[in-house]
Amino acid sequence: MLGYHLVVSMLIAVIVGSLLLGCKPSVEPIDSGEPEEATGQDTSVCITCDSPCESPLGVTWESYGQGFFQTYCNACHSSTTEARNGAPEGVDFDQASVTAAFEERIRVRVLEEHSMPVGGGVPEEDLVLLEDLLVCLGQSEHSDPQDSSPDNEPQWSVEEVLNAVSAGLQYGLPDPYSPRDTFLGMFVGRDSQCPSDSGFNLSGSFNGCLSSTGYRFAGTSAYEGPTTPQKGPFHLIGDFYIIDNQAQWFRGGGELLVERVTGPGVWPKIVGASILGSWSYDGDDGWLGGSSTLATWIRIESQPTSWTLELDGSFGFGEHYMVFEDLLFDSDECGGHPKGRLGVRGLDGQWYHLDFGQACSGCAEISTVDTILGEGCIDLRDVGESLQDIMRLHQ
Amino acid sequence: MMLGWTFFLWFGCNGGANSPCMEGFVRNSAGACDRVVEDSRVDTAVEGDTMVEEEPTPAPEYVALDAGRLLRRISLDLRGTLPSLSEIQEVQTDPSRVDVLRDAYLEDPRFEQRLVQLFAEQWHTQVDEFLVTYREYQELASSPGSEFPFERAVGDEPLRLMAHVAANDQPFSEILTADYTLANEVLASVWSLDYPSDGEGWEVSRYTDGRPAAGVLATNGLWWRYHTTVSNYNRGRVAALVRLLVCEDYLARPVSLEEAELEEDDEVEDALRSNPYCMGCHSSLDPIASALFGFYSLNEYNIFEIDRYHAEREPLGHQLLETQPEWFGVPVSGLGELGGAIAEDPRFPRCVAERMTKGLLRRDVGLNDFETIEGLRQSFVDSGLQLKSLMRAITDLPAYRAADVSGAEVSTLHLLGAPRLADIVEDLTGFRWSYWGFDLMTSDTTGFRVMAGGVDGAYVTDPQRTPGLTWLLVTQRLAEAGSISAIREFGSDDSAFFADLNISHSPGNAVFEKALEDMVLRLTGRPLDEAHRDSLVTLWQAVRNTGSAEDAWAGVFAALLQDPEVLSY
Amino acid sequence: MNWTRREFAGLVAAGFLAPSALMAAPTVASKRKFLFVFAAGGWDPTWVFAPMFGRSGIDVDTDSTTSTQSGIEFVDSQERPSVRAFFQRYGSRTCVLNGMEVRSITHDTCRRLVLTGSTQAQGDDWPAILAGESSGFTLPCLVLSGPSYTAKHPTVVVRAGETGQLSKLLSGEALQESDSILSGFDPRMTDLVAAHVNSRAGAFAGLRTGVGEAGFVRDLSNAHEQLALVRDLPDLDLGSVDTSGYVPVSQRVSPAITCFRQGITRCATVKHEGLWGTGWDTHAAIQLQGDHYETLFADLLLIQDMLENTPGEVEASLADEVVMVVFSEMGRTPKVNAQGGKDHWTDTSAMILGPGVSGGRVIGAYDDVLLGQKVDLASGELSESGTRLTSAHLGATILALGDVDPGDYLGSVPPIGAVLG
Repeated sequence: MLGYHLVVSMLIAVIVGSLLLGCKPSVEPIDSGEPEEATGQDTSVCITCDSPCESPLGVTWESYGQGFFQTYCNACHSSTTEARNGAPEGVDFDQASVTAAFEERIRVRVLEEHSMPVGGGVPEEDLVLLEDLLVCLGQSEHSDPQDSSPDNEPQWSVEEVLNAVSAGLQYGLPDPYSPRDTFLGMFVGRDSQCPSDSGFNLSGSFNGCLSSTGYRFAGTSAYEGPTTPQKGPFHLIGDFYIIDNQAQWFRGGGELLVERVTGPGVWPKIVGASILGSWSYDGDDGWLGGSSTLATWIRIESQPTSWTLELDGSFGFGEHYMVFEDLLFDSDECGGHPKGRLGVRGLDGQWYHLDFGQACSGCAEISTVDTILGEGCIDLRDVGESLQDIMRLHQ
Repeated sequence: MMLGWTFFLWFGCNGGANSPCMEGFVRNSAGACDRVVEDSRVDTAVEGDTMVEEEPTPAPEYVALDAGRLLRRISLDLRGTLPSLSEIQEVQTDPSRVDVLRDAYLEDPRFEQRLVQLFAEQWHTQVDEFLVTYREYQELASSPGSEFPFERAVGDEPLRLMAHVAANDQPFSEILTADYTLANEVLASVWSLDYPSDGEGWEVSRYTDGRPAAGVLATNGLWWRYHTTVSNYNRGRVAALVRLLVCEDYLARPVSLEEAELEEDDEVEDALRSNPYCMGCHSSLDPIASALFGFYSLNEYNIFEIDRYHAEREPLGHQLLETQPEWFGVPVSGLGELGGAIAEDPRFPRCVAERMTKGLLRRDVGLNDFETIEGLRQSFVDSGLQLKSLMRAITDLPAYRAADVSGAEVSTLHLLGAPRLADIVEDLTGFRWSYWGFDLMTSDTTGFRVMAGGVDGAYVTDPQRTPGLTWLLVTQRLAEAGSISAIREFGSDDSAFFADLNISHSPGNAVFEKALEDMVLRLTGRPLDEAHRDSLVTLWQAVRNTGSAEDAWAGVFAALLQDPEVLSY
Repeated sequence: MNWTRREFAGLVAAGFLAPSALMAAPTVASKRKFLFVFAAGGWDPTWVFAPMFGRSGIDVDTDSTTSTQSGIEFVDSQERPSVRAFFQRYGSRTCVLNGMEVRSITHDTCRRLVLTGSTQAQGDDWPAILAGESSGFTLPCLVLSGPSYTAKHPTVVVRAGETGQLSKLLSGEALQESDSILSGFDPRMTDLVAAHVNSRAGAFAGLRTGVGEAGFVRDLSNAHEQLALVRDLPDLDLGSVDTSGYVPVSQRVSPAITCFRQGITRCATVKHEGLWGTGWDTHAAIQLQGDHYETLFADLLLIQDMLENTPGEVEASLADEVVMVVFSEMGRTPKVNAQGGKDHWTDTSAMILGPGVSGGRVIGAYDDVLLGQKVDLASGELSESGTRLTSAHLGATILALGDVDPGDYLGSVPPIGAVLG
């Protein structure tokens, strides 16, 4: 098999040779540093090939160019991206006609100066093919594709979105003590043999064991904290299931954490908590009963007469899916109304966002990624306050 | 200067797919020009600023396979089994029937299973271990025989979906947009799927956990193989899917962290979003990763975390990566639209053409194949992304139909290894090498897949292309077992090879000779020649001298199953 | 520019590659055997190989200190007595490479890079090259477990199977491990069939003379020759491994020691998966690295003990014939992540010990963000004008130790002369 270097050197030879004798346009574009006007009209004449101009390797926009620019450039240089990362407006390579206007600058920046793409990283064989593409890019006719992005019409009204939020928060905001207390409660079902080790750590294979009381324990867990259901700092890592004697499953896959950020007796009292992973118990009549999965981070800051509660992350149970984005409940400044953003997923898979802003009114602008639906109001003061109460540590 | 001219003629300006090739070339069915006359001119290459004398590499000149061997190759590639005796005889009489039979093979029920094998070689999902085991599912834990069926079912899921799309004449882009997956009883017993209550084996099924329609991108099987960690945020997965679907390899890019000029106090995540060097990859990588957060797990070893889709985590990509989902600059709302965006990407059909060509030519595809691949891509697109059409075009290539080649060092003789070897032996003899629920020729913990030339998806990622010691040993034992299994039906009407024989038949007898001839023709695709006949008869006699006629035939059959003409194609 | 044979010879002549290793005793160099121990999953060099205390940008094991044994500076901890014991006993024969760049952060790619120096699919790994460039070995490259990449030398690579499948295939026991009750052929019939098949392979080679057929035909002939040699080996015991429980690597290596002793194997590869086989990929609980290292070095002590107590082909013991290369596919990030673990990192360490190795040395170092510093390859000293160590340099060095010209495989990448004693 041919060595890679030989192949590349051959191809370079092909290009050099053909530039001299082949398809190289006879009229050199002027390298002004500015793009040519993107007229799509030929600016040069191909002297040896049948029209339209063809490059030595036959590389075209369709066969290679579009993919090259997509791979290395379009994350920043496209007319549609929302993250240009400093790419100049209008210098876009997602359409052939526009790209062709920058042909000479592309040649200089990519092939000569190697200053684009930033950080380099273009394999030599791609550079060979790019050089070939640039030979004829300006002279080919291209039909730029029309925007075919799907139409995402919102399917919910403002009222339906608000109803979905209410349903999603019908049991309040998730708290780490519900799964923790369920975990502790499951140990009424243990016996001296099952699970095999001491304390609150399960062990052994996932085949698990069946206790004399009819509980099945399987998996592993690690727990630090009080062994009675009292509030306070704790840490539980779980990868287990426990089936109680009523055949109700308690599933634990992830991590629960409550920690004091500031020491006792210090104002403000700050508590951090996270509920990560999948936690659910068939026998629970709250949010834990709905096959919940969470990635929720909570921070509570208490003063003697006021408190704030911040939430980030996501929360799902049953068919209710919610996301918190810097959601902040402030008892003092906002009377318990939230600031920040709350999202809820529609049955069509679209996300509807409630942006409460800083108004402290309980009213939010409701929108999808493309469309503003309008304003809606919802009173969430109780959910914020109840979680704040649950999470308050006895210090 | 001469070299440039020569190469210019060779590669350049050769027009569209329908225009005639220049003199000395013929246009193949994929639209590319294959050279038919070797050009021995020597020219000058340019290397840097220096002109050096260099032998040009002539275009390959292919010697075509005869009809019997060609049909055998096509049958093995498209159905994973040998052609029937009558099919071989048919093309011996009329070679033009090869294409007719090829088209029939594309409609053969075994085509779908063969596609699973071909995809497995490159998608690497048929691994022996995932991060969780069958024992973690209560439904399976008490049955040790579930281990292999569970592991293989998980790995097969995305492959089966792709094979189903192709075999049922759907546009291949449906692998990225389908609102269904393929599942069997094992998967249905542990995952949230609406598997039909009366289903058997692999059936179209839908997840019931709210995941969007995104074909293979919405399968557990793909993401169990390409898992992520809490802090990797799906980036490794993006590298895999970009490589698999548009044949771009972030990880092969010539980069070095040294050039990033990281500072001691740089936070990695900040650097990825602001350091120009890191952004070279991460500006496109992170927005794709952002679309995959429905599969983001917070404990990748926990079944409840990894076997369901987490719809509520979809927006976390934006929060954690600080970028909205995009596919190389094209905004998408999430996983559902991501599949559509990839399907619209011009690199996708080209990548499919590249991968299928690699799979059928049994070699890597490189720069030399650019034009061929471009022709295949074009015909694939023109067909409405019908994979059968693409495979038809590949099997029309002179390179595919070659018995030998001059002017290029490419292999034209292919190795028959795992898993096809097992299928062929099973098809011919009924023997399948299994033990405690493990299919030994398609697994490695106790089996022989890699030893027999296969791919394990983890440590061995390309099929073996030429013989080796362990391959030889496995073929020997497999042939023994297959032969013993086949000979049990000696003289029975059900026997594929020994139906007309009885213990009185011996060399020289017409029934004996006919059986031997048919056996060789069926197994090799070529008529039995005299030297081969004599050596087989000698073997038969040697065994018969101390054993039964059945023993003698078992020896002959085992020898044939190990014959290099049988084990190559 | 490729690293040509002529330049390779020039390096030797210039003293970069010590004559004692490559010229004075060329037969020994070409006879050197190699044991590759692969720590699968990505180890954290700061737990043993690279003391990085006092850097704000790097999280380290705070319960450890810097120690030096036999010239090797390492991270010492009471929790890892085997590490200390190993460097006490073997430090003088050991060279540690720090700050070696692998250039990727995914397992699949890093494995290929660290073993072949390239991401290209069609590359041979160091064991396959060493085995492929030598002759006279019946099982030239024995893969007991772990990764293996080969393209040019497929016939030299012999996979033993993780549960001893090769032994079972050779003995015929493999057929008894089948749901269909099979006993296989009797030995006489097996021999008759094998003789026929062997003869057919010869006839096949005579007929298949095309360019496109050459590779297949050559490797088929080699495989048949190899099989005949293996069958003729007296007392070949490749063992079988019971997978019902954890099997220490020191036990898994045993068949390789046997093959080294018999002179039938040049390279062997074994995978090390840390404590109880749980793997080195510690994205959470970075302290597990300490347990994995302790397990690894305990196994390495046992392996070296076996080598010392096994007679060599040429030397008194295999310890003087077998070079041991201990490596992992990647390193781990400088800082601990939110899960208390560390993620994948491009720069890592490796360890080489045995004959031909300049022992008692640590070559290379990490900077304050855990990237490798440049090294003068000839002296091994840090040098601003030096070279960033990569896995290709590791490979070139290993090939040079085995008397294989690295230029044939790695182009212009030279060996690290300072490693070559």
